[in-house]
Amino acid sequence: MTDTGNATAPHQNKVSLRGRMRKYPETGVLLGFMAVFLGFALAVPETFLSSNSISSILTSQAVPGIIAIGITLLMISGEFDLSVGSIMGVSSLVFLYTAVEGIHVLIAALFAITAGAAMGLTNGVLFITTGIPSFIITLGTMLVYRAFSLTAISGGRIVRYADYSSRNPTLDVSAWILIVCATGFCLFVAWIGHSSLRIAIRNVRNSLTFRSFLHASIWLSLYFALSSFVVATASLFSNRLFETISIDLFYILNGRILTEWIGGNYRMSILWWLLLTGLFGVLLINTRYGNAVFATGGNANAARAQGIDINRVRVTNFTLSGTLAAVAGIIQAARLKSVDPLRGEGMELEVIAAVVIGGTLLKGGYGSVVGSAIGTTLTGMLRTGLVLVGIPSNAFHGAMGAIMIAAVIINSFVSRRN
Amino acid sequence: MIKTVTQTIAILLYAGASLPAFCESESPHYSFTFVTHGGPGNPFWNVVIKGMEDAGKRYDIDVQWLSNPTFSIEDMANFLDDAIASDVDGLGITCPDPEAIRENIERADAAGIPIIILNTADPNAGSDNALPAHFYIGASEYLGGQSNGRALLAAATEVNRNIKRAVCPIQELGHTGLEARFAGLKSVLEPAGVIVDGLAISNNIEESASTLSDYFLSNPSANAISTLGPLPADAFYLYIDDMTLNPGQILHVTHDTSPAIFTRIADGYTVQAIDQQPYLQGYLTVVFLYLNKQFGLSLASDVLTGPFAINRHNVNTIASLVAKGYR
Repeated sequence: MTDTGNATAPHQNKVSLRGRMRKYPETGVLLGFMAVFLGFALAVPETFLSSNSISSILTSQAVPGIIAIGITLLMISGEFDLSVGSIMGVSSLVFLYTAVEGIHVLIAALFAITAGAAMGLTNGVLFITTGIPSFIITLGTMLVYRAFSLTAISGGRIVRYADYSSRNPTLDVSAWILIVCATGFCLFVAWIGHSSLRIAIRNVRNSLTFRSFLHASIWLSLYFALSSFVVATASLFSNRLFETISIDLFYILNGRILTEWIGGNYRMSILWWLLLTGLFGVLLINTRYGNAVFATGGNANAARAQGIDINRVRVTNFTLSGTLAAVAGIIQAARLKSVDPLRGEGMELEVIAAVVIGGTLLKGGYGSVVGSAIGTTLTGMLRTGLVLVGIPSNAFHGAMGAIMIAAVIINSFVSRRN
Repeated sequence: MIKTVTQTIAILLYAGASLPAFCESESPHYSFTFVTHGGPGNPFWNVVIKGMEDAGKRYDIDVQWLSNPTFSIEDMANFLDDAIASDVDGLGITCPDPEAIRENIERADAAGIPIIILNTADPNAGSDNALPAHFYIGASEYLGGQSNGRALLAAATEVNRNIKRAVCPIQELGHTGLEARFAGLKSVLEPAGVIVDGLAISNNIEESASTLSDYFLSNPSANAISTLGPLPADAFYLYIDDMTLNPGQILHVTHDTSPAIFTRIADGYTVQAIDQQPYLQGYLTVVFLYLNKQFGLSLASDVLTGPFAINRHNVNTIASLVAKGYR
């Protein structure tokens, strides 16, 4: 992010296209994404390009997408977490069990997030104290955490919110508090990202390249989304500033949106996914912590020599990974309003695959949160596209795997170091 | 008065002391062991275990359930060894992989221990390669699929509609039991002119609901679905709720049961659910082991505990029995 200004423009022309592209882990997956998108768009245009199918892709991928953020951070710092699916299961269970006990849903969510963070922290502490590879540690905790769900739901079958209450939980607040919160939140995000936006725009002005354009458009769309969020909130409540608004919390977490305008089944989970991707994208690229994450995964000894506490970075990432798995679990539980003992099973591999497709290296030191989001969308697009094309069920997973490999080949071609 | 009381107590004590001896002379105190690939913790197996325990109480038999919460064939072989070593009088086993337990079962048979296979049949049954067991007590997955196929056709006739295309989402491709359910469904629907599609889904409800939405988007003529378990059924319910479809707009049948399935049957969204009556699998295994041990009796054919169809006519009775642990 620091190689900006006039001086870099002539220099850039000497670097090959591939060389420039590999600076951005997202570019490879973006190419794969476009190839797959075009393929399906040409094969089954009337269904694939419909709002129903696009919403189906985004809605089903929001939850794995949120988990993928934590996995990306962890993988960049050189470690694995196979227990995220089980953590998601346990956290969903904590969330719903506490919620049906009559405890307020916000507090239930807090419990669930704490549980997720604690499980992630346990992974991290086990890892640094024993020195056993994280792959093995989290393989073990994956089974242990899964056993929590299995034993907790032993008597019942599926824990359902509907068995305890027929209406969704609500939070009653004054409208103006909502507007203040929304504005404050957006200002906070804007404040974090303002220097990046300035740099991005300056780069486009200096030289309009694919890279600078991509960079600037990502930032501009983030700011556009933020301001529309504030405007939307304000206009929604402008005529009833001092009324008490009863917020349906399950709706806020994962309600249906945009239905009147574009149909389909778009959900709040997509917004949460975008928001968290933006936040952690900025964290990774624009903060000292982000640098430490890259350094830890790139070359641990060099990082240590620079004074980075690599164990702390790793433990933090394990905890973040657990926390985000819990957040994903809560968001999904708010839509399904139920938890089964198998919730989140198999999620870990799906997410790790999406992160690798998104350009993050298995060995660490290289990757991007935005790339993971695109990778996650790509896997969802594959699933939806293959169903729309009408592939036989027995060949389904095989076809998915083959296209995934093709996408990663494109990716590694782009990101291969000279 | 005091004398009468003491006499009564003495008589009662005597009767109490001699009662077990008296029973023993009539019927020895047996102990039966179940070695299975699933067990406590799983709602399905809990019902089988309750059946086993109830029959044990009824016939005064010691019953024991040996299984590992995470499925492992090696553990089944080890548990069988434990059971044979402890000199049990009868064995109830499941048979997901006959070869892994063949040696143990043959040893048990040689030792004169009667064996009944429950829940999961020996795939080699009827051939020379079959395990030396008396018979099988459990459901027929294939017949269950057929029953669901017929229920779909009947429901369509009832509302004067034709099923043009039906989908069967499979949550674990290659799973013998699920594939048999699918094959049974096809064997009824395809001769009736219905195209039946298989669809790969998972136990992830949200993702599977999206896949269903994609399927119905690309196959608008599909108007029937057969799910093969409670989680896929939940995925279908999520889909129809999102689409705000009316009951019967897509005819639905399913295998297995859950509170959600019972509610949807009562509300008219689901035509029929196939139950395999797990209670009977536990209960009858104990009864038939007892009859064999005691009188040398055995059956000439398998006992099918399923398919048992749950529909709008009997759903309320059955839902109340679920709460009591019998269904």
